[in-house]
Amino acid sequence: MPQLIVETKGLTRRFGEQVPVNEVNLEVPEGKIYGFLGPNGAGKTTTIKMLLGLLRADAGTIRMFGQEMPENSLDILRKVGSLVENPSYYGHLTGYKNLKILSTLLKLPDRRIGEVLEIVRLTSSADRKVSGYSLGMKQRLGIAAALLRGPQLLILDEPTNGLDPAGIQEIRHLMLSLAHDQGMTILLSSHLLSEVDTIADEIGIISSGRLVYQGALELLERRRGKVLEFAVERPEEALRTLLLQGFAVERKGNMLSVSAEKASMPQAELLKLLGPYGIMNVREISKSLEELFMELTGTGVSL
Amino acid sequence: MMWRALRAEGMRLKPAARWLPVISSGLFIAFMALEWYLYFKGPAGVYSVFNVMYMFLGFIMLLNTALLAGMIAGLEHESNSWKQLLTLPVSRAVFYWAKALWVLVLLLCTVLLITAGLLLLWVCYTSEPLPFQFLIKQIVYSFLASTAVLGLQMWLSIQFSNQAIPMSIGLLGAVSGLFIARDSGAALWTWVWPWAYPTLSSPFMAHPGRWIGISAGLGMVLLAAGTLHFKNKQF
Repeated sequence: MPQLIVETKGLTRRFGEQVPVNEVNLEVPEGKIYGFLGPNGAGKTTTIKMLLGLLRADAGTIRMFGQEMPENSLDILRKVGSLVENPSYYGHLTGYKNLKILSTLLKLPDRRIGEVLEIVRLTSSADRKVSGYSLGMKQRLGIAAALLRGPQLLILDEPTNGLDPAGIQEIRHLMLSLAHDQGMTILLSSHLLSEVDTIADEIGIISSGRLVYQGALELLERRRGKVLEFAVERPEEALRTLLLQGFAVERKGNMLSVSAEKASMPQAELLKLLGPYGIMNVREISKSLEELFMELTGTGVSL
Repeated sequence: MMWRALRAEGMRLKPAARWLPVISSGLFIAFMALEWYLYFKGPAGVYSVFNVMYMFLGFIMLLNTALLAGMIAGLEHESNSWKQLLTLPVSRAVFYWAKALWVLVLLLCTVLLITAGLLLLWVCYTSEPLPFQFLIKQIVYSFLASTAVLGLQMWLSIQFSNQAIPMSIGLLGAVSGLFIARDSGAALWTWVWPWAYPTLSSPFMAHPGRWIGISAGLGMVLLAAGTLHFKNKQF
């Protein structure tokens, strides 16, 4: 069991009647990429702001690197690089100067600025004013600022917001190399499952302030059910037989959909049972992760 | 740490904040020259410049305080930078004081420029002896007595993300200072009216030291309270 870099217990934040973050127990293991997922307004940013000490928790505890937050905020923040919501930048200054301000405050050598500019490929635009940057460049500058202090934990809130597909791909590669080559722990929030499922080791899904799933991505994949669709000649009788055997079946014309929670579906058994009713066609449909995500977060219903 | 915070603050200063002392003191001096040229002729007339200064020094100091605090704090609001700065391993108090000190430094620049400008104007315009001590006292006192308003404006400018609010309050306050300058006695309410202090602490008045002391004391209290509030502010 690897050490937990971020651990919250019963983390709660209230806002009047609403509870944007409700008893969240986050567990981010060391050296992993943790995908923090949830639809817009589910409480991702609020949770992240509490981790960073920008907001106070109304209840619950936060431990980062084994220390209490916000009591030891200066010690903890030394090891954390972050980018929350839209990037912060001084438009009237160059990209280099923006980073220089941070490196002065952090007491870092100037060569570090060149290094992070190189990582996010902004070296050639370093001497231009940031107000002239594209959204993607501003986002990359924000990541450079987060990387400046060589953090052990990187917290990025929707870092691919507003980026084009190439930019998103680039950020993914960057995350992978930071986590796997440098052993950095990365907490990455997103409202799109497809955006993190290729890189995250662990995921947490938050919905209406509650953490509805947390664990390895493979475990989640195992939870997605499968549906077998049979087209049979005598659906009436086939349906009766299957229901008697205790299967969950739905009928649409001569189509029977048999769903099973487990991946290990007794396919052979089904074929044997349905054989006498004249099978014309068999189709296997598996739910996409995206559908599962919708189910978990209940966003399939709204809108 | 404070020194590094001050340097970082200086790097991101907006050009307008750098130029404000130059522009405001330039206008002030030009206004004095105009008054001289139009109204105050002859050897006795030259000294009336101190009366005109008495009217407007406080106004210029108070207005500059509000504008500078607004520009220096407003920069972080408009660039969305608070969340980046405050997740640095730097105490929030350091940021607050670095900003307040920069406002003070730029106000001090205004003081130096007004003094230098007036000396130059005097030398060019007249050969009457210059009461140098009085001139320095008048300008420096009004600067020192602006501390209370500095504490107030810093607080407002950091709390409000829309700088129109603190700047309007600052402008109205500075205008109210103009009227107090025309009022003969210090009424009771001027004791708690921080915009009255620069005018009341003119060497023309009876107890300039007292008003400077009150202003500095109140300024420190307001800065400390503002720091405390900022430390607990949520973003």
